[in-house]
Amino acid sequence: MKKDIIAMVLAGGRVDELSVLTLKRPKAALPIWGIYRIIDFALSNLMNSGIDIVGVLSQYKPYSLISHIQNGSHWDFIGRGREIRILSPFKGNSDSDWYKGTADAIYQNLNFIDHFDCEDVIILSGDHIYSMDYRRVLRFHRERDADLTIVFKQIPMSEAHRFGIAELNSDQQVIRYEEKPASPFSSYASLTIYIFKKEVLKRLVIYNSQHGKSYQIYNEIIPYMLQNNFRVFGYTFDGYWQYARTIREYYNTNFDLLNRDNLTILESMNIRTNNGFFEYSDVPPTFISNKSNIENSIISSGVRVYGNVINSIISPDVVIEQGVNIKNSIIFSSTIVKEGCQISNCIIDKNVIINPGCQIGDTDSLSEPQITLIGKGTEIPANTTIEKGCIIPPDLKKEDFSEKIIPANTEFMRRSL
Amino acid sequence: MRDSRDTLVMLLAGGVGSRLSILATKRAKPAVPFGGMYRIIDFTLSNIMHSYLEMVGVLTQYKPLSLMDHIGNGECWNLYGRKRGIKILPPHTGEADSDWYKGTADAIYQNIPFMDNFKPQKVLILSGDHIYKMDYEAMIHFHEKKNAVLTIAAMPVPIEEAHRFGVMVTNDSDEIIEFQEKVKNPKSNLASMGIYVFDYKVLCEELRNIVGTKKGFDFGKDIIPSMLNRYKLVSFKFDNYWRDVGTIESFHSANMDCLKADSGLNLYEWNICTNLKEDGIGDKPPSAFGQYSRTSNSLISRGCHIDGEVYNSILSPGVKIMRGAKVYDSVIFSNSVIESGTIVNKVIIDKNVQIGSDCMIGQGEDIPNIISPSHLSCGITVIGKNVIIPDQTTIGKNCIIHPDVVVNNNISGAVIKSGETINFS
Repeated sequence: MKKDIIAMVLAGGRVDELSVLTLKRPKAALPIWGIYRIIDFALSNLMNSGIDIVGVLSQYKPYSLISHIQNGSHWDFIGRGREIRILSPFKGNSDSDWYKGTADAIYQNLNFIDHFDCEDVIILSGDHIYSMDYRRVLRFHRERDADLTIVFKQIPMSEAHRFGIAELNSDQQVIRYEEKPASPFSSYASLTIYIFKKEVLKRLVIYNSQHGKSYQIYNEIIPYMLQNNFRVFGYTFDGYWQYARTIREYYNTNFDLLNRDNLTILESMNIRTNNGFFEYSDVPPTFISNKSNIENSIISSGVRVYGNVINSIISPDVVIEQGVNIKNSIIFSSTIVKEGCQISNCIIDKNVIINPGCQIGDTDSLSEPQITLIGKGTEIPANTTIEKGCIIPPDLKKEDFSEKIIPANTEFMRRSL
Repeated sequence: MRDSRDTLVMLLAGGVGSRLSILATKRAKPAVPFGGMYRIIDFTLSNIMHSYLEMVGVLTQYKPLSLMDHIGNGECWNLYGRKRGIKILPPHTGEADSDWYKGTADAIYQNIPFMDNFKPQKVLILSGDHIYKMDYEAMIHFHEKKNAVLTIAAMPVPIEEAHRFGVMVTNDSDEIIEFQEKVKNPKSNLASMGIYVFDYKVLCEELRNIVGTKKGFDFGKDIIPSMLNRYKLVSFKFDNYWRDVGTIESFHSANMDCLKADSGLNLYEWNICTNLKEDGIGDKPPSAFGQYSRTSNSLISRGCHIDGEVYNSILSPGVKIMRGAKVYDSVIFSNSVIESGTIVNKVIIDKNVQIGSDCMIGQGEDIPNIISPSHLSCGITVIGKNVIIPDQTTIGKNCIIHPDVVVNNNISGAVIKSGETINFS
């Protein structure tokens, strides 16, 4: 099928730093801003950029991602000549063909790419939060007849050691690139958004499949291209972009939405989600009782509030009972917080039940509070105190809590995990 | 097999909601928004879905466009699939030239060819303009068990209200022995809800004999009375929440019932399904509540910005209440904006309305609407779709501002007295 450009979205990664939040889902499927999942940003950008053939490379616990994407209709990926396909690892010639790296994931799906008669392939990560018109990047790429265009953003030098860093010449050609350099030489950080000429990409990943060690685009393909005089260019982006790769970053990114200017930007970004069809499609409007106080918060549909919510982000179908105070917290869908609970500086995953009278999280209200995490599906018995900075794993039952007080910074992970 | 499988649903959704005033001038009554994010017809469609019914014909006549958009292919109510479906049936020219539906029975009569396609055993006839939750499958089961030819859902109403309904007298085994359609001194307070399960063959015979010979066009007036002593007619009792939201007052009060814990109308238990694709409702971000906002006993749909105060009110998606604005006992449809300092009291505001700052809406003497006092005398003011109201305007009670009106363009401080109606001059 003739196509201008097709997209490959890398959505397989778990990201260890996100702890219990990504035990049951890849980072791309992590909820954010009440109703979204992180991958919504990449998918909506593709939709808004008019790119309508998308392969999603998934590997780590893909179920939540598959059920979120469904047939892609929420991002307009269904219809004649439009599609989104989840490309999971499959058994190939050799025995175990898990994706060994990003380059290998592309290599193993060359038959998908080859199905389309296209000039370029855009490869991007499904775990970042931003709005970008990829058409502009494509125009830049073609104007320079580039073999590869990488999108960069200038970041503080203190952060540069966490990214792929490049030096660009005055023509915006990449003259030096290093992945996570110990002593960064530039503040141009790769956002892992790549446009490759399709034929070049094919040659490179085939070569890499035979000679690679890490099988990563950033580690092996880009350095190889620079050594061998390929035309590699850097497109610079200066809009809102969030990595959300650590708990702190993820927490802070959520609260960006409490700034009304950011909310207005979000509304103009045309971000779509599948909030959609199954679980939360028809939850009623948010109900706020006559005993509630809500300040500076984002509250999704289907939430019933009988208590107080301050500086918090609440996903759909949550119940907040009387006498509850929720402060500086993020609560995922279908969680129930029962009477009299005090919740501060927490991230509480979905389907959690917090029985009456619990005190959870950092109440010292320092400028940089310690974040407490509660894993998906856990039930906390009544009158439990969980002090600041604790990490509670998913699926705990009431009986699993032997103590009434869990001291600060406890990370009790069940043995079975 | 489920009792409902061989039953075809015919949904009468054509009604001109004239008593709903300007809320229904641009859309059929079943398409009027309700409860924040729903439309009135969603209640009936959700009942159909929860009763496992699979094939529905929707009879439309009056301004069907927004209804057709809303129903779409029916997937929102699980009415889309190999054997499931929902079909819109607009009036069509038949043998005679102009065949607008002349009554409820006529609408069904004109669609006998459609019904014949499905060879149903039974037909469930419903109307799309009531707020209630009912298990039609239980009614169909009752119909089978009673071996009835026609089963009519019935509920007790206050006797002084009974003259507005068709009422029936029944014996101990629920058989209907008398039926009176909207009479002055009804013999019973058991009112027909306009929900019928018919044996399909008998229905067609009766329609051909009565409507086909132009003897009558209506179920309540013509078909039921003629069947009375010839067939077994039974009543299926219903005694839960049920409202005809056909007037401004009943529409407002049923909306307010969504906020009362003991009203019997509980959106959080009823599992009402709607079409979120329409108007991009499903794509709206969650609602934002500002630092100085106050919200009490209210339903807030997605995409709202609440920076002012909202009490006992129902907001549809995308409504903005600016800082310092106060909204009491009101129903506001999608994407309307209330600017700062404005006070809104017991007002129904349609879609895309802009109310400027420092206005007083719904303030003043309780004088009935001068043009239509019988429709509007309960203190509610109604503001139509796309109306623009400039800063510092005062609007009284029982006022009607017609859709698309721009109130006294560029003149702030205008006063519209209680009971006035503003239309294009």
